[in-house]
Formats: sequence, C-alpha cells, structure tokens
Amino acid sequence: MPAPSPARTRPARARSVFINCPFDAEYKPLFRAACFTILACGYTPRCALDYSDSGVVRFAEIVKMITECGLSVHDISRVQLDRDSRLPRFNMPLELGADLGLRLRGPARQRDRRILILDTESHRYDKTLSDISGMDIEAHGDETRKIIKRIRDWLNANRLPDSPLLPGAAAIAADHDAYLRIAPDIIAGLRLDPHDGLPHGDYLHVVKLALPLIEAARRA
Amino acid sequence: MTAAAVKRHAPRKKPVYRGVTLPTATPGRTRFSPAQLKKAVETAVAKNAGALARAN
Repeated sequence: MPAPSPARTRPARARSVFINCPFDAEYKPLFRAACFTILACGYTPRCALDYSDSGVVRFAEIVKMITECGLSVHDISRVQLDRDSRLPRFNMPLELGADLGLRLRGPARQRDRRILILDTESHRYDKTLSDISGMDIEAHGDETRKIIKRIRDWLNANRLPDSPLLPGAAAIAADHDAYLRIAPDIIAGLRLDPHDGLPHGDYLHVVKLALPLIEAARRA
Repeated sequence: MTAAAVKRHAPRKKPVYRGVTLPTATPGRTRFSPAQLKKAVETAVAKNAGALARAN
C-alpha cells in the first residue's frame, strides 16, 4: 500500500492546536499533559518538535505552523533566568506576539484564531507582559491536573458548533494518571532507556493508541 | 470486471475515546513503526488491566 501523501496526513486547521512552551526536562510533565489533553479532546497538538527533536526551528517555519493551526496555547511561565547563561529566554513571548499579530492584523482567514495564554500564577503577567491584559489568560500553578483542566475547558468553550461536550477534566486527568502507570511498561516494551523516555512523535502516537484501551480497561 | 476486482476494503474505523473521535493525522517523525508502538501499548495495557480496572 502506498504511503499517505503529506496532504492526507496534515491535520485540519480547525482541529490543530499550536503549542508554544519550554521543551526542557523541568517543563516536560506539563508539556506532555498538555499534549495528552489536546489529543483526548480530539485535536492534534503541533509544536516545533514536529520539525526538530531539539525544538530549534527557524522562525519562518514557526509562523507557518501557527497559520496552519486554528488554535494556540502559549505558556509564558518561564520567566526565570536560564541556569547556564543567566539570561532570560525570549522565544515564547516572540511567538505569542507573532500569533497575536496574525489575529489582529493578519489575513482574514487568521482573524478567527483562538489563543490561550498560560502562566504559573494569576496576574503575574501584569508585571512581565502587561500588554496582554484582557485576553484569555489562565494559571496552572505548574501542576499537571490544572493544565489539563485549563486546556480542556478552553477547548470545550471553543469547540466547533454542534459538537458534543468534551470529556470532563477530571476524567482526562484520571486517564492521564492511568497512562503514567502504564508508561514504564511501554518504554520497556520498546527497549528504550527509561531516562530518555519516548520521543515526542512516538508519544503522540502512543497516547492515541492508549486512550481507547485505557477507557475499555476501566469498563472491564 | 469481476466482483472480486471491485471489492474494496472497508474504511479503517477511527478510534474513539469517551465519545470523541481521535485525530487520525499526527505530524512529526517517529522512531518506531506503528506496529511496534501498537504492540507496546497493547502489552502494557494488558499487563496493567487489573490496576486500570480498579482505578475507577
């Protein structure tokens, strides 16, 4: 059977969620929980890791990816100085700015963009990025359960017309816990080093495979 | 043309989770084949079936 063409494998714009967040080990549990939630809600997460394992991607490619997604999640919680360089990182505010620019002054097709901004604490952005006041900004407290709830509730509020309600945040969080329980066995089954874990692309496929099976196992 | 020649495979059933149809397309590269990933997930779920059922 021939391999699917790129056009067939590209997810629909209305069902694609761009994620702008740190890709380091410290943030990884939150990033993975965000991807898990987006998949569990029937959407496809997109991020720089689609292009590069390190997440280092040219800005033009990032902007192109943003335009291919109808929804975006931007986490601006990483305001600390980088441990090695002792300097702040500006990539995430830059990508948020590009996204907001598209929504405000971009082509007509981009004016309906839905954007969720996340931070660790409520209203910390008043001190770090006060120009975004009045937008959809939620706090996750660096907790996976909260980031699951924030993203699920936002996707549910912005779901397509006539679409059914999305699964509840508590149910998704419980199934995320169930996934974490089986994850070591998945990693062992693939003969991966537990400290390395699943590469990003494999993680997305694994979650899609695991979600219906976890639900079925609960009913058994 | 014979009946066998026009016979087509049924479209692959889309996975559903809690009433939500999961996306079929996933961008990005994978290190493992779909078959390897499927086997690893199914084995892990089967191994933990009891614990998953009790977690209700």
